[in-house]
Amino acid sequence: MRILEISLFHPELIRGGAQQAAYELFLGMRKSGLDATLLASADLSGPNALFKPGAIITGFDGRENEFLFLSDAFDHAWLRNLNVRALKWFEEFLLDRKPDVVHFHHFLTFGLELFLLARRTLPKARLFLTLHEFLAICRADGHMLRTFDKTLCTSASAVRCHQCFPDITPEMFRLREDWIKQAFAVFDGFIAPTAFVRDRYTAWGLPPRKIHVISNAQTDYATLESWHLRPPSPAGRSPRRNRFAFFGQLVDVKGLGVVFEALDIFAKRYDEDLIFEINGSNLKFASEKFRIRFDEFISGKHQLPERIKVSWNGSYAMTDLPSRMGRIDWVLVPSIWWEIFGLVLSEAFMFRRPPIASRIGGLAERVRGEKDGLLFDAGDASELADIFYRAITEEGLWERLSAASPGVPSVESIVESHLRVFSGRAGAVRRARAA
Amino acid sequence: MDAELAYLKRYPDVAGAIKAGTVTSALEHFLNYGRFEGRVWLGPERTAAGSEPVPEPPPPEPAAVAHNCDAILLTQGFLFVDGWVDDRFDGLAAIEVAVDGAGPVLSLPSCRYRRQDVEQHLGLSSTFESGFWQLFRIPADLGLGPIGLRLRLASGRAVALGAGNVVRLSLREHFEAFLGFYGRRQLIGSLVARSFSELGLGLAGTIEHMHNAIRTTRAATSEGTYGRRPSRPLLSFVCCIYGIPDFLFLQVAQFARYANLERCEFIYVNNSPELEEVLHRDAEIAAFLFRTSVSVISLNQNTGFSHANNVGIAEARSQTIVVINPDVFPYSAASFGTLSRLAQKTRHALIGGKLFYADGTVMHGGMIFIADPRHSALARTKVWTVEHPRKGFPDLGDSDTTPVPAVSGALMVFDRADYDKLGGFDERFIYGHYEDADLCLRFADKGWKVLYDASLTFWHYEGRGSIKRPEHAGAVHYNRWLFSRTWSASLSRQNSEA
Repeated sequence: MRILEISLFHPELIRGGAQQAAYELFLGMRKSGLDATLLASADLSGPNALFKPGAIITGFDGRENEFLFLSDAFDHAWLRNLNVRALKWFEEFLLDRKPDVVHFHHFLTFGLELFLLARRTLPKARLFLTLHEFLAICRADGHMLRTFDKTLCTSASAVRCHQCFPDITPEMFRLREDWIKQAFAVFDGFIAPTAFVRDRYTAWGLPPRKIHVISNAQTDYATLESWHLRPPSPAGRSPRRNRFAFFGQLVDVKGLGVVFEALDIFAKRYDEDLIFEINGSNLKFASEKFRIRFDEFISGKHQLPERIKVSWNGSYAMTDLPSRMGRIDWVLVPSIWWEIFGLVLSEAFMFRRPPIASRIGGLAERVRGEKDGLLFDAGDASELADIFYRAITEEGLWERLSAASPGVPSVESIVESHLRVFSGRAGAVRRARAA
Repeated sequence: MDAELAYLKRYPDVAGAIKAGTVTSALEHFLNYGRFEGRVWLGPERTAAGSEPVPEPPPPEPAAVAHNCDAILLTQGFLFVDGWVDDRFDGLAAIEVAVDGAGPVLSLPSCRYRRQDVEQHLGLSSTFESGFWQLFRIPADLGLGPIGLRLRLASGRAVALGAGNVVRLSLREHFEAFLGFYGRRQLIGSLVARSFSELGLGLAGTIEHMHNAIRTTRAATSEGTYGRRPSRPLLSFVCCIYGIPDFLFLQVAQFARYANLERCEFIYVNNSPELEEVLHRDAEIAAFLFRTSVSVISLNQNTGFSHANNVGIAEARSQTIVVINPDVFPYSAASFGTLSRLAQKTRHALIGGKLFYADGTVMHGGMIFIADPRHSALARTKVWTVEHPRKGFPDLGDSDTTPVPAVSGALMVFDRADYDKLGGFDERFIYGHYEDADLCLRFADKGWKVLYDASLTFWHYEGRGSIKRPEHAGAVHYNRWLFSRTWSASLSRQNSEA
């Protein structure tokens, strides 16, 4: 089986959950001896030096079976690729590689046209798409948050979307949905990283029988030798489990604002010491209001008692995880949007750092409250402040939750699950079970 | 040469009318007919030496009459004056213009409109139409020198206006500016009735002249066909694009959802020059992606629905023409099936379909003509409007084909030969509106059928496919007047028979 994995960006160039999962899967396939090729997009937001005159597809840094799709004309309004040469060269690439399976991980930067082209060019190939987020459903960056008040949105419709974008008529949203569904119709199956994603797309109109739930591929970094070189509980730390950390993008929807508010409440309500470390970057994509607030907390302009310490460690690579995880106890996942999968949960689980997460979307599905982590209502800073206190003071809580951590499934098992879907066996097994 | 002789020299047909006894003098002709036909009454002509008498200076004003000339739009052959006057005690009778300083005097009755800013300025608690305007046809060789303006009041007194803000515009700019004003002006009373009155009293003739002059400047700036073009397509889709380029790709994509398009051709005629390159780009992509023929003919200006479609149909290769708006899309796979069945079977029939709003209710199921009772009463002539029965109502699930008075130009299917015999869409209509109904009535006039096929189902996201500009509102008044004038007798007869 010759497989072509098509990823939004290469994680080497631009970090992000979708590309990380795609790349891990690709590497896992190669490791399993499969004939897999990676085609990762690059656009002008990345290093322009990778673009070569006249080239649409090029190799990547001399890596075997890894290629870049150089996207210079993606239209965000209609999710289209406006460069006809890009379409023609993609078609040529498919004819050249002749994959039996084409597995897309996104349409951003590529354009929905590529789905149609893949089907037309390879009528016998099996085509799949992993649903990494809700951009197909929601024009507001796929967040499914109402643009006017940031409340959670549960379903899209022409009129509801128009309410979020008053300058765009309902009819245009109808056309948007038509166009996306037209492109999605080419797929033999979809892969959703959580049941939550599957259910949202089912409600949107994708056939349930076509959607398969498979967790994102994720290397278990805790099994790496480098992790074992570092003692997970360094000497000199507080005997209490009072070290909390955030990992991820420094943007509004990731919910850091809720943590800041919770710290204020905690300071007034409790007398315990607390350490909060922030790991992440991309503050430039946050709102100005958020940036100001972030700066106030980090710079100390915002007054907190001495016993509460807030620090920012900057961005991190996967290889930094062992050290970053090594000095904290709890991983905060305070998202205020419909978190699809929560890659950071995988990271927390692999290092047995119990997550404290919003009770929302894929987070609520993956964290088993009181078993391997703690949940609080999304946006409820008061509840989070109480959880801080409980996490610090409740005897044996950390140990119990940490011990129950599910870890992460092996990449090999995720590859195997994909192969079952690609070959059509997953459906057969499910039908057999149903019968 | 006196004014009488100048008039006869400029309009030789008037001399014939005098000889035939229809009128007794040039002045009588002007007063009773000429001024309503857009003809101008000229003062003494200039001589090369400029020794002819100049227009009489305004008499001394016994009391100041508040007034202002806000704008003078000037282009070769036309002049538009816009201002206001407080004429509550001595009504404004006419506007007189002397172009090129010592040139001849043009005089036309003033048109009026409401100016709330003036009412506020004058501190009035009541309303009155203080605004005045007039669109003059002027000799094409005039207009380069200074302009003299005066208002002639009912008492005979003249009020000299300042030169105003003279803005020299291209013909098309002038036309658009005027129609923009005409569509937006505020009145005390019915806009429709007043428009009919003004148009009937000569304004229509001036607008028609202006429009005709613009029509001579139309040209295609680029033409391109992408994809393999069938020599005899099953269907030729002809679509006029204005203001929004997105629909070219989206429309072809929507058809491709349901059908193999290799035997079709799509011809897009672009009325927005600024979109030219984008449309060619999308045509190339759509033709490649959906394996069909997509042509783009880009025009140098907004030529309107009639001209653009006529240009597109002239390029079409199929016997069966589908005129389609950019915001019309097949409802289901059956839509294309019905179209295919109609191919080459539309001789002497113009067919429209059942069109749906995006919310699933019916937008169009044929059109009827109604003489609007209120507007007709106010205008003292029949004002015809086009109505869509059951617009916005739930679908009844009907699938029959029935004769109707007319169908929407959003989707029309007809035979190329029939269209050719009729001479295509009437290009006297400006921009859009009423030309589709006009074509249907001309079909019916020939004894051919106008049919509503309820199985021909399409979405129509009405009003979304193009942009709206101020001048369109002015053109609608003209088009309604033209349509009513052209078809009133026939429609009255048909409706009374029905």
